[in-house]
Order: sequence, then C-alpha cells, then structure tokens
Amino acid sequence: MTDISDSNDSEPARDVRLGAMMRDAIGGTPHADVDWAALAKRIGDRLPPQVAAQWWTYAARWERRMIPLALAAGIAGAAVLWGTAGTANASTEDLLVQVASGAPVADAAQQFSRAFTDTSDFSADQPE
Amino acid sequence: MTETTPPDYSAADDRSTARERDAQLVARVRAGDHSAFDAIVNQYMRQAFQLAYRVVGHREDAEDLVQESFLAAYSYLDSYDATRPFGPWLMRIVMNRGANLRRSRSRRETEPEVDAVSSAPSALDESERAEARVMLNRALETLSERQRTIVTLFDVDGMTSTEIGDMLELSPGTVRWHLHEARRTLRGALSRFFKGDA
Repeated sequence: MTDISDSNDSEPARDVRLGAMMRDAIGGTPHADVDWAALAKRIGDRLPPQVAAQWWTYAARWERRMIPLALAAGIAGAAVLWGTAGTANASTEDLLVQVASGAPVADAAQQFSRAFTDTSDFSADQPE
Repeated sequence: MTETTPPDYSAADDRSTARERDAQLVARVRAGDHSAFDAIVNQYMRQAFQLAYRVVGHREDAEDLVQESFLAAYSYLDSYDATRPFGPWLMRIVMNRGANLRRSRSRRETEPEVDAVSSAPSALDESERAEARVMLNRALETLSERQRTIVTLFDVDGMTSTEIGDMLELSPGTVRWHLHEARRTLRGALSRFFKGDA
C-alpha cells in the first residue's frame, strides 16, 4: 500500500495514504473548472501584434556577409581606378611628347583614344 | 468543487514526432504566424495549468500564471533552442514564474482550494483531518519547489515518473529520487498519523 522505498529502475507504487492526505489538504487539480477556450483566447488576444520586419533587420541579418564583400568590392574598385588613372596619365604624356616632337596631331589623338578604349577609332567617325 | 480530469499530456505522443511538430510550429511563429502559437497554446495549456496549480495552489492564480508564461514564452521565443523539446522549456518558465509568484504572495492568498470532503482519508476523524492538513501544509512548505511539485504530481495527480520527467526535463530516476525524499520528509512530519504503517 505505502511504498516509500525507491528503486531507480522501477516505477514506485502510489503512496495511497499520503496521496489521500495531500488531496485532502491541497485538493486535486481543478481541470474541469477551467474554461480552456476562454483561456486560450485570452492568451491569443494578449499576444503583441505582428510587426512587419523593418529594413534594418534585413541589413543586420546580412551584415556579417556584406562587410567583407563590400571591403573586397572597394579594394577591387580602387585597383581598377588606380590602373585607369595610370593609363590616362601615361597616354597624356605620350600625346604631349608626340605632338611636341612634331607628330601629326590626328595620329597622336588616335593613339590617345586607343589608350583609353583599346577599340575606339575616332578617325572612323570623321567624314571623308 | 474540484475535479481531477486526466490531462492531455503531450508526453503521450511519440517524443520525436512531438519535437518535430513543435519545431515546425515555432518556426512558423518566428515567421509571424500567430495561428501557430495558438496551436502551441492548445497543445500545452493543460499541462502548464497542472504544473501551475501545483506550484501556486490556486486556480485563478494558476490560470494567470499559465497566461503570463505563454506570453513570456512568445516574447523570448528567439532564445528557445528548437533542437530541444518545447514542453520542458515552457514548463521551466511556469515553474520559475510560479515560484516567484508563490513567494511574493501572502499565505492567505495562496491557500489552496480544498475539496474538504470527498477525498478525505476515512481513517481520520474531522479534528484529526484538520490537524493533519495543517501539519501537511507546513511539511509541504519545507520541501523544495521541485520536490513539492513532484510528490503532488505523482501521488495526487497520478502522473508517472516518466511523464513528470518529460514535463520537468528530468530523468525518471531523478524524479523517483526526489519523490522518495519528499515522501520521507512528509511521512516524518506526519509520523503520528502513520503509526502502524509499514
């Protein structure tokens, strides 16, 4: 009837006497007295309204990936600009040297344009 | 009048299925689906109420505790690890908040609702029963929150050690150890009513 010994590998018997005394002292759980639908509704009604995600939450989510990507893109862009600036400077110097040394201006200008575009041929646009 | 109805324990489900179901529901809630949280509420509110009632000892307080615990769970859902079962996580919230509530309220307010007649031990007369109730309530107060909850869930509500273990995320062996200790304390405090018992 009353089993206060315990074993870790088997379910102990109910302590009927103690259980009855506890039921007398503290009562059973009053499941039948609860309006479950009303309780669920109260909980649902008190949930905070769903707020649409703000743009910064997306930004924050991508932050870890975007920072190195942005750094890499910045470095690549700087390298391209650096290279282009070097070409432009060199071509301008070449143009000045050619013109100063008596080369025809049209030829010097054509070479200058090729230095930038590698394909442009200004003379092709000129009327014959 | 109080009445004990067998609650709808999620522990009766296959555990892995329940875990998958809960993980899917939580994912939907996190994606903004309120109806998924309603499903979680319907799944766990009876179990939460049972625990809440055992902690605070009063029906209306237990209902409030269940409500507050679900709202807290919703607020802190981001901190929930979806690889672990949802039920014990929720029950920990109920247990912790219930313990705080119990401590913060006066003895009078937490006086349990007692079905004074129907379940009385027949061996005791009314004056002895009244005395036993007082002594038992005092003895229950000396138990830890966990032991008090376990012994009442086991010996009053008829749950198994496995069901209690699932609810409180304890092994059945640990539940049985706490049960043994709680019974020993209670029987020691009520020794004069147990004379002649083995």
